[in-house]
Amino acid sequence: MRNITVVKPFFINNFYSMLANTFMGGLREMVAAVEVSNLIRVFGTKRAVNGLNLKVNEGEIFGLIGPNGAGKTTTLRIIATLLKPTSGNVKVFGYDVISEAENVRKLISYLPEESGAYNNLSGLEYLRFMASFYARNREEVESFVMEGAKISGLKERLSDKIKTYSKGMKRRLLVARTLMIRPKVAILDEPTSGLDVFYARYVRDEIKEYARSYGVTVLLSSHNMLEVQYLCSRVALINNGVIVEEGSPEELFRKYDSNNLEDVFIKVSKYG
Amino acid sequence: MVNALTTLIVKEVKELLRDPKILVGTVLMPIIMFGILGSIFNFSIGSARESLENISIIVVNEDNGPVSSAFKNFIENYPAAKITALYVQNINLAFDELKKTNASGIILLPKGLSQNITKGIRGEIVSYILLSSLSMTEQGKASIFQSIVESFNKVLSLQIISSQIPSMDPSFVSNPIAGGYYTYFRGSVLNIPPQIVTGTLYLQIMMMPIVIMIMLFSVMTMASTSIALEKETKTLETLLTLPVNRITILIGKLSGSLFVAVLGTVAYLLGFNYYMSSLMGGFGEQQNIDLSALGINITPLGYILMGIVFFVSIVSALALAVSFSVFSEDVRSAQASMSYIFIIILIPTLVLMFVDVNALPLISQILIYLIPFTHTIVASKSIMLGEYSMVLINIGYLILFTIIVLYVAAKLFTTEKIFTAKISFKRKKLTE
Ligand SMILES: Nc1ncnc2c1ncn2[C@@H]1O[C@H](COP(=O)(O)OP(=O)(O)O)[C@@H](O)[C@H]1O
Ligand SMILES: [Mg+2]
Repeated sequence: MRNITVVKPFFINNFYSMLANTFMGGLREMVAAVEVSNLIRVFGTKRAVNGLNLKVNEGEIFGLIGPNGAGKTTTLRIIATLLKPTSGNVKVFGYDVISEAENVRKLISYLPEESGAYNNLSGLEYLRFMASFYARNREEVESFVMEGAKISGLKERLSDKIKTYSKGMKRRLLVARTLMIRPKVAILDEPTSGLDVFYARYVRDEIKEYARSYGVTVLLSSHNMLEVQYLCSRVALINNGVIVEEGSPEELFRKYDSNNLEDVFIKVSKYG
Repeated sequence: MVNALTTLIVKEVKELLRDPKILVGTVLMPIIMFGILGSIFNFSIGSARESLENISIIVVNEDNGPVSSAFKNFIENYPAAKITALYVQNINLAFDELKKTNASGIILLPKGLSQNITKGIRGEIVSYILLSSLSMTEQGKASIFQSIVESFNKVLSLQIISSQIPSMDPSFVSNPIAGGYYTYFRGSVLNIPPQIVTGTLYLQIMMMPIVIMIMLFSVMTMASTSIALEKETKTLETLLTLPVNRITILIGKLSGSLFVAVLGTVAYLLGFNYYMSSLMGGFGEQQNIDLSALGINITPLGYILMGIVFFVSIVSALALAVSFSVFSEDVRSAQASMSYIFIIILIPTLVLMFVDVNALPLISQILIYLIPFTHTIVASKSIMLGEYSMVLINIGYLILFTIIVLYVAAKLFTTEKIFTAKISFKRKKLTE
């Protein structure tokens, strides 16, 4: 079960999860793409994450939504092996993020909330640099880079230095490099924050299209409810370091008698 | 798997060398700066020399005797420069001419000069040297008048001796004793005056600390800049989630910044060398002798030890820089923190250049020897002087220190500290 290759046609992933969900659901438990149990992270006296539970299944686009300071970034950084949990368990495809961090890093591709790229490299050089760590040989590097170039949509600007890029162009490049290597899990922290509507729309569509066609499991965070509604098959509402509600957007709409997640969130935090 | 370390190093070198500040500041600047300084020096020396090779003076001959005709003859055949002389009757006319022409000065042969000298009374030749600017040429002029009069003095003296004591060799009478200066150095007698020995040692051995200091400084600046750049451009977070061993990332950083630092040091040394050779060439007869003439031979073992000392020192400097820059948020504060560490290198360098450590009070000695880079300098000096016994202790201390800082750097790199640690070295503005 642990010999998961990074590159695998998406339909096989989907096939497995379909199989697991429909026929074998009760018989054999699938290994979750991401499984977080009783996660606590304390900074000084601040409990940034306070007993968080989360399960992301393979192949889904999962949204973590909540206001600023809710603990989204801290949670994602722990999953991405950057921070250590104070207590609790976090596993990515069965690998523990502390004791098996090196294995986890092979499966994930992480886009930090605030991220830049090396200013003195060209976009293409940057893609090649990033691809080198995931590819098994030169040919694969080049095929990753080709994909990245396509996803970014930056065309001939890719041969310019990154310092000449606008914020939106940089973000497109970064999203492209996150997805081009076809990770098992892409972790995207507020992928569209700070972008104008056009760039935000572009990035959103990039994520939706390539996550599906590559069969990449996506775990993203956002404080933009519309975005999550548009992108995600399942969402979790996070507040003060805990998940306060979870389900598909439709389920939540029904449950809270609403037609947008913003409304749901307010109802949950008021009465929940 | 494509080689991760190579990928990291190549990226590091590209990112650093393409940064205009780094490229200009560490690689181009030393070459340009020293190049310009050296060229200015060369140019002014050249023009000074040119103007000194052709000098015109005004001679006031009030004497009109045998000494003044001897002087006239003397300056016509003056070996060191081509002298054009303009003869005038009195000093007032001479000053008028000095204003009108481009003469460098006036030489006055006063009335009764020949008479006095034939009588055995010392005469006087007076020079008025025109000072038109504060350039090197003017300084050269002053000395040319002096050497004209001094050489003429010698010629006259020899003439007088040979006419008064025809039986003896005039050069013997004027210098009956020749001084012989030998140096007793490290147990053997050298047929070289001590000034030349110290001069040579100074140039070749005392310069070592400066070179080491420059090297260490540029290595540290580079390593801390490279870490801080990752933080400033917000690339560190991504870098640390790559499927690469963190130690590999650390080694990549160290090697990349070392490469650029070596480039910078080579540029610095080339520039410095050019500057120094311009300077030396300008001052003329610099006696340069080989170290081997002083009985100093660096053996193959010496070279190996020197290599170890350098390598270990540089690695520890790199690791030290990395450990410190982990705590700074941007390039500016990283470089500010480096300047504190740099003081630690500067102290032993300066002290060891001018003072014999063993002559210091015990407490100062202990403090100086606690600073690891003291051992770099002390060891490299000892190696050049062929004294290997203490070098092993120096190397031992350096290795111990290096292991400790490397361990700290690796710990900082493999824990979340590199990511969460923040200490500002910047001073807060009062208005904030
Ligand atoms: N390195 C840190 N040190 C101290 N407090 C932190 C640190 N990182 C996050 N926090 C605090 O933890 C809480 C959760 O932050 P974060 O996970 O960034 O929230 P979100 O991403 O949902 O906006 C906030 O109150 C934040 O101030
Ligand atoms: Mg956040």
